[in-house]
Amino acid sequence: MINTPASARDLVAAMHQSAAFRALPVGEQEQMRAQAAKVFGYLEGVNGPSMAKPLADPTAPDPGSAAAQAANPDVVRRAGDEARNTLESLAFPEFVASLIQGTFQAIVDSSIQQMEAYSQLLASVSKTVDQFMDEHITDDMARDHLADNYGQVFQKEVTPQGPKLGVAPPPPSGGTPPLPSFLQDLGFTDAQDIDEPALQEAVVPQVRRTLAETRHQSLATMVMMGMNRIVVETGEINAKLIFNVDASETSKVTFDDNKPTNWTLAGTAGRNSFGASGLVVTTTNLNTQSDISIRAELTGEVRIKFKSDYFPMERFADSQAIQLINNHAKPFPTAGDAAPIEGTATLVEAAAPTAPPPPPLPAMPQSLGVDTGWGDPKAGTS
Amino acid sequence: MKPQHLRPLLPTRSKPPDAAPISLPAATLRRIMLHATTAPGAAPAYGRAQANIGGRGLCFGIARFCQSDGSLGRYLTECHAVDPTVFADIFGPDAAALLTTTNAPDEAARLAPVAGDDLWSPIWIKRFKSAAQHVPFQDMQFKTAADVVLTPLLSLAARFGLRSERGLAILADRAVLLGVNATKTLIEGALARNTPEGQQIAILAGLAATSDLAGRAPMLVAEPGLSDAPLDLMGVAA
Repeated sequence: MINTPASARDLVAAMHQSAAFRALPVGEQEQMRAQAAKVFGYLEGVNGPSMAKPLADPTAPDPGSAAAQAANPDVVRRAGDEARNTLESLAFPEFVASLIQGTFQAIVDSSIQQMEAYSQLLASVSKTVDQFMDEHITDDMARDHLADNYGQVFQKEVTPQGPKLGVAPPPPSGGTPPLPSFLQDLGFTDAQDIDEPALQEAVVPQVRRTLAETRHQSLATMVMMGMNRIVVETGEINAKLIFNVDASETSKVTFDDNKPTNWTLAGTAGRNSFGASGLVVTTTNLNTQSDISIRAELTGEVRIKFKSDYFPMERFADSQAIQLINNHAKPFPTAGDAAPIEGTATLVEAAAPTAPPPPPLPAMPQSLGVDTGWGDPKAGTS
Repeated sequence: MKPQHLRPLLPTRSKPPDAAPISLPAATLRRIMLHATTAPGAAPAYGRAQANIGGRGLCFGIARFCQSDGSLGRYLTECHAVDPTVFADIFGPDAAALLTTTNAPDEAARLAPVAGDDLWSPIWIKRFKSAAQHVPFQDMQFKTAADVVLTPLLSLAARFGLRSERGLAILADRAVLLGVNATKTLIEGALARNTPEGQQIAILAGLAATSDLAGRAPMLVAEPGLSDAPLDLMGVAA
């Protein structure tokens, strides 16, 4: 292991202990001192590369330690610069601001949307059934309802122009199933009575109105329950920016001082003169490595504790509107009610009181067999 | 106005079709009306009864003879004429009042109740459905339908080249669902003269298929049992 000098002064003192050095001409000695001062000037100077003690030296402090940073302020300065640049590129203050703003904006938007939806609901319920039907219930919805719920009477027919609702053919076993009560209320006694115009003019409009009444009533009931809303009780917003800086710088300086190893001394013998020669070898090896690694973690976290609450309807509607909604929320009278209201029949199969059976028809008299010329040629009756 | 010297060179316009009623054999009209109102293999809806849909009173039968337009009265008159005994048995003591009311000149009078009940009340509908089971009354539905919805269109149909059973069946289908006047408007608005009948039929069927009331028209285009041969429509050259 080579003991390296701590400073140029130590180096010069060491060199003066060498006889070979002392034997050097003064000029050369001065030159070596100047070179040593230059080397250590690099080692200690501001402009040259900063050098820590060799890593191989077990007594050398850790590069990240305070002592190392104090001894090597350039590493700290560079790490600080890098951290500052990283922070600027991450825009952490803007991130925190947007986190707070976004959180509150979301809460406010949610409240506004709830309020608007409830207002629309309130407005829809406050309308008449006809208005509600015109705006929300289409003929196609009524046709779908018929096909889905009364498949024994109605069916969707696939045509080149798209599906159309039609009357289902009678079952092969014969005997037509009884019509739903709402069709009987329309005056139909069997499925044969319902043709395409009747479907368009009577059945679909009636079903459409009934659907509108049912949904209107449901919405009115919902409105009566008040507006459900979300109330934020507490909240917490965390924003973290974590920097991990790994800075390392290694340097190795090897100063190899070879003392004179080859001297030749010559004397005089008689008149013969003698001479002396010597060899001094000085080696300086400089190896510097610098590495700075920065990793940043940006974390945002929002925690909100909320509860559900409701606004009473009285805060949104005046007394007249509330009375209207109350009326809409009442179920429509069924066949068993004492005072049924015209046009409020529901699709629910109510257990209507059975009417007394009609009197038996008179016996069918025999045809007179008049040939009118309009008879069915296949039947041979005309 | 063309100059005087050119007038002799202009082709003389053919004389408009004779307004005299055009008639076809009863069997032909029956076949046309049957296809126009009934799908192949299905039984004609002789007993179809609809209660005052659209304020038209009772509409009854294969071609929806309604109180409001007088076609129901016309049908009942035919039934009474063909078999008065059965007519009286079915409709009972109110048969005469039924004929008088349904044949009244005023629409409101035609829609009036008979013997205290609207004709679309269950008791009357029961009687009408009973009448629909009587074969001569069934036959009269074809006759009345031809008289009410098809015969008034024959002259116009001939002018637009609709002369076959198939062409007339499509016209009858439209007239049953839309009415005679609306069908006339449809023909004059959608069809052009001097056009092959097959093209006219395709146009009418296409319009029907895309409308709310498709009826049987789209199926009639290729339905067997209808002739494509031109019929001899009296008064109009075939």
